[in-house]
Amino acid sequence: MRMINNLKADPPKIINDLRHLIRSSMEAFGEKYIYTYKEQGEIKNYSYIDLWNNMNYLGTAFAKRGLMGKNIAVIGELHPGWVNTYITTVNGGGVIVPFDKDIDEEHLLDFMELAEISAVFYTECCNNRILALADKLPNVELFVPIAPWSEKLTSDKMVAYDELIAEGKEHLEVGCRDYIDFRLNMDQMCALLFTSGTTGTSKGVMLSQSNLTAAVNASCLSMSYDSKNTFVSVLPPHHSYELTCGNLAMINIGGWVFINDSIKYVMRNFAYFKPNTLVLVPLFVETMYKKIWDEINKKGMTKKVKLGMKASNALLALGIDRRKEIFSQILDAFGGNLTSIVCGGAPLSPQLIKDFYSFGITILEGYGITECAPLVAVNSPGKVRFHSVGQPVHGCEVKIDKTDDEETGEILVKGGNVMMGYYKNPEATAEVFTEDGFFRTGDIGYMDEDNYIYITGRKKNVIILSNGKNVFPEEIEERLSGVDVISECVVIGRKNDNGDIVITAIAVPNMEKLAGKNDEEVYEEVKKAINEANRHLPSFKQVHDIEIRYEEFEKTTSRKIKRYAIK
Amino acid sequence: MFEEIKKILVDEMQVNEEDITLEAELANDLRINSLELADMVLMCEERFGIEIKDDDLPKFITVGDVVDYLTKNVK
Repeated sequence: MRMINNLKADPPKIINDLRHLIRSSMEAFGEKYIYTYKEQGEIKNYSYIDLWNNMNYLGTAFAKRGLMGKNIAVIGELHPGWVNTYITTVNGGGVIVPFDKDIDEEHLLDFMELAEISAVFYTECCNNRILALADKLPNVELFVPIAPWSEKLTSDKMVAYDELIAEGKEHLEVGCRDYIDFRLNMDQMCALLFTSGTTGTSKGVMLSQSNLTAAVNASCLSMSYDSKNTFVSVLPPHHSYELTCGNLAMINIGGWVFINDSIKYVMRNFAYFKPNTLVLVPLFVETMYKKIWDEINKKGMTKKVKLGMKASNALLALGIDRRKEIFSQILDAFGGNLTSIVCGGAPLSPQLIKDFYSFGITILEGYGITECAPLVAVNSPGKVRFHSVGQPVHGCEVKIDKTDDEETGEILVKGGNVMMGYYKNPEATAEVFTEDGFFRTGDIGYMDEDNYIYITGRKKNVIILSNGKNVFPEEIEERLSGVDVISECVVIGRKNDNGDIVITAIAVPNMEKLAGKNDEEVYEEVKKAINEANRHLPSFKQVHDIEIRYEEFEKTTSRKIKRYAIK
Repeated sequence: MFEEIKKILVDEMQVNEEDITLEAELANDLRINSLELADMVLMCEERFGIEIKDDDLPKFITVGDVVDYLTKNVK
């Protein structure tokens, strides 16, 4: 199928650093809204001027309270205050440390201690959790609930976000210029992103201003964003994909972001806000696709729609685009303006991409990794190739580490977006960089003659769920190693009949403990124990399927399980 | 209440009626993913006139969990 470019964009501005990002967008877009969001039942707006002013107010409050240059944690759902905490910190010489709101307590405490956090900013969904943890974080000087907050400020270490903004504004107005005159060091760490994993294996990705600046410029250039973009944000902001492609890049091009207020209202918010662009993970796209066809089938219109698709595709081949009229009912479910969806995390089926295209929505599959801030490659509008994650983004060099005899090899990346290294972990850093400075992604693939990248596998054991979350099996295995009815266990991601990845534990039962039990009883005992272990894991990391095997796993000479031998 | 949930699952989520029991797990047995669960919760909210918080969604593992929750909370 020949794809035509239905997305025309003005060239995005090129930024020099993230302060320039905010200032230049304030100058270019002024009173225009960057964010629209619901709060306590009301719809609120936040303009580009608010973005600039509040950064300077909060930054000045940081300066007065000795927080400039410190490590600041932010946790919760997307909110203008969340974004402001991020940009204020990175533009004041500090280090922002965003956390997944679903992170378990043990990891959160470990990471906060490791990252030497001085202040914690949190949105409403985390109020109770952070309050309960406050006593266990003696080194944190300040806890800042971002509006809306309902709890009482129970200690002198707590100050409301709005109060900090007011405080900074006051100091700025009487001439405190410490924050606004601060000179950025482009090569210093300004963001620290913890990848999940066991405490021992988890790594903190260090990104500099230079990395983030390169990533924002590359995202805008490769995805043909422009100021006409309206966007509904549904993914969590701690994820670099959402933050860079869905927020910082949107700020750069003067887009308008509607913050989805609940997973329940995703489709309703699409219909209401009428986005023309979305940044999603496969879970959303696949569910939307299933819903479209369910609805078509329910109405008994399958034949008619398929016929319409054929006719529309034939017209498209002649350069006539009638998709908006023919499929208006389908497009209206997304508000009627949606023309592109950027999707990363895991591959989508080519049929889904073709069908969406027939309806008038171009899916742009991409590939990213936190260590590259994150975008490495993406299919650009008008240049989509099925099965491929697209060409390397602007400023990013990609090569495949393979011999002439091999068809595939590890994907290596070099460019301004590649991280500085892993936090306090020089050994791990050394392992992932080649002698000539390329970052080893751990992903396997190949490139075609036009530099389109195709991913074929992974060197790492990470399980990538369709919601884009990464699950490190070692973490779950560590949890299951304490279960007395299991002698050995390997956790993998197994595809079910629907094509969804299911976290599956392959367990070798401890027959000393289970002596005399039949297969069914053994299964039940193991299931009971795994269900108990699941209680201590966040829902996305829970084991959903169990397979029993009675023979020991094959081992390497160093007694490590040969994972690749497991089917 | 079980019958009402069953109706939503069959009519709106295209689940096979014979698979729906109180013990059936939404994700593993009925193949309902987290977004579809959110959709189902929204339908329950509208049908029964209550509000179910996003934080409560992970508690719905089985059909029985949804039935129990609604039985307790729907007046």
